[in-house]
Amino acid sequence: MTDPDRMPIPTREFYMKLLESPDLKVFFETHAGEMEIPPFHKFISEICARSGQVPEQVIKRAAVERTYGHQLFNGTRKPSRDKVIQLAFGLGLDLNGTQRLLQVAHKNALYPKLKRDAAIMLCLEKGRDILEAQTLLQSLGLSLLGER
Amino acid sequence: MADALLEEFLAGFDGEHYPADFRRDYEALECLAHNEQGETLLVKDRRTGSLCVAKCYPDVDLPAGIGESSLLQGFHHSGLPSFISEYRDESTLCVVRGFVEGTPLDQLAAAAPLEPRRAVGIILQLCDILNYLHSQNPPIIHRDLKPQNVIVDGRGRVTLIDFGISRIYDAGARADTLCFGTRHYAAPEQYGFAQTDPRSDIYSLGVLLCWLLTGQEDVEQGKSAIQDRRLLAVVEKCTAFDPRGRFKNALQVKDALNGRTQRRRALAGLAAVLLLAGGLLAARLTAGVHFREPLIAQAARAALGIPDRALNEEDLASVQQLFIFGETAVADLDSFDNLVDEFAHGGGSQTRGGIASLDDLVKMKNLRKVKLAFQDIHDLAPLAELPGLEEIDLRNNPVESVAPLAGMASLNTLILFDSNVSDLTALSACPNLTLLDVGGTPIASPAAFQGLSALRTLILHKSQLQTLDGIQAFPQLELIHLANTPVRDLSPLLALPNLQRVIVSEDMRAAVEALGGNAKFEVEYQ
Repeated sequence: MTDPDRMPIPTREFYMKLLESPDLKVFFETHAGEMEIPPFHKFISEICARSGQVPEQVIKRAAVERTYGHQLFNGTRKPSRDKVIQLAFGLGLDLNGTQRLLQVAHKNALYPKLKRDAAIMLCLEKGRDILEAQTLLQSLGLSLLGER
Repeated sequence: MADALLEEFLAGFDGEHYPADFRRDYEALECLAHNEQGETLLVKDRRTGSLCVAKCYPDVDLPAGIGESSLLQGFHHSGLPSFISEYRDESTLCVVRGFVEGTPLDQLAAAAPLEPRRAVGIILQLCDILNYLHSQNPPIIHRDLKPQNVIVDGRGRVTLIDFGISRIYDAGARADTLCFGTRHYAAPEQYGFAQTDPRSDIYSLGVLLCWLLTGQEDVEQGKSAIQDRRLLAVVEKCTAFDPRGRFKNALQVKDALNGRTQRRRALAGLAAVLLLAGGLLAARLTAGVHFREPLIAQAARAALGIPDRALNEEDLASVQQLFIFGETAVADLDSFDNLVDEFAHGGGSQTRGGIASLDDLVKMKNLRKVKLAFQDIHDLAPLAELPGLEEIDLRNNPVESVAPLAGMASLNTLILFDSNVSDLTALSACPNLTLLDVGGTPIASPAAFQGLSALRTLILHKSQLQTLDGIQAFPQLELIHLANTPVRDLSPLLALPNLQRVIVSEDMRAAVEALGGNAKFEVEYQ
């Protein structure tokens, strides 16, 4: 993932490319870069660059403390799972994008059988912002993002 | 809008089929793992707020008193998780154990193999844990010893988790009926042709040591990369295909790692050789080192992952990093940063650790990073004997003079927040010093750090800085932190060509506005 033009492609799209590829070896050679897991801070910076967002706005929308947020973007801190999810809201990611973000951060995926994760998944899928997500968690009597 | 979202959620959600009393007592926060045998969940105790781990098995046929729950209940060892409670209904069994704070080995060693000394320190602790398990009557065999199941906490202490496929050794059985374990780490007999016994765990221990040293789980490939012949011999003996060719128990592995077997054999001869050759050096290398500061000894142990024996000079030579915050010594930077965060968010006072002398550091010739916050350190002279230092963090210490650090070529980061330094010009011969934090000091003007022309990040918040006159002599500066200083004229910053970010406090808003539209840097209010 050193080339900023070669962003990770969603799994479904990736799978289609695999089916279309004439040869498994060629497929692996062509897409080697996309299969690597990039460093988290580079990954979020690339999402920003691609979508025309600046870290400052993302950090604000993620409701992450400012200095800590910048440390996540420059790679000096590693985020907790909740902070990754908050950043997903800040980056405006959908559910697929969020699962990929968690994977890149080496965190466990959102798991729909758990009430808290399911509520977060619904908010991401519906494009709700973090305040709405926190409100839903609170009304369900669940821990808020970043609380623990 | 929130109500509509809530209704939509409640209409669609059909999960959490766990026993009702389990759901009453615990909130499920995260699924750590799941497979056909069940789920491992990170849960929060609603009564106390503490984190626990729950294993939930959907198999209703599991009789009471069998499996992980009963094993955990019998454990009394600091390297094993504690049993908390068990919940069951007609369809699910949930076993709750203590959450082990720390990092799994697979993440800890993901980037690069560990230093041999640290790897051996971890294996030695695992030897003690396995010895405890295998010494039970009848013995308990873990059968899934792998990096993901070994947690190392901030102080370097090891805990072995996941007893989901462990079994009690049955002396009468001939072969295991089910195949369990993880590829590479599982001993050959775990594939079903013989019964597993404690030597199956010894096999996995050997694979783990190989992986820690080389990054290779395939022992045949990894062996060629192990430089140390003694460690290579341990890996080979642990992973012999025939269990009879392996070490008989974990204590034998421990002895071999400590070199005790050879030592016993050669004891008489060695004594004579030592006398004849005047082998004072060898004796010194293996003798325990006396520390002036017990807290520094603790930090060195944490860094090396050796919690339970005296450190010798050879050990000290392999310490590269030391982290102490107040009275707490930790093993790595993440743990140190967490303590800083806790302090910053706690807002309370911090107890000092009481370290007054840095003399103990002189023997750690390969130290690169030293972070000793909230101590009573005045004198930096011992650091002059450590030319490889790259990062020194002595925040909240009564340091006055940095003269001993003059000319330190590899130094790139110096943090002296809340110290008494007022003159840093002695560091003008440190060509790689790019980050300086002298916040909370009596420094009043850039003249105090004249000559430090490589600086890129300069932290001055809460200092006595009156003026920025002269700041143009630091053209490499990219970030400057000025919050809560008396400075009111920011115009000298306009002369800095590479400046990207300036952090100020609300009371400096007028000074920022006075810059008009001339600033090319970003201003952040704190």
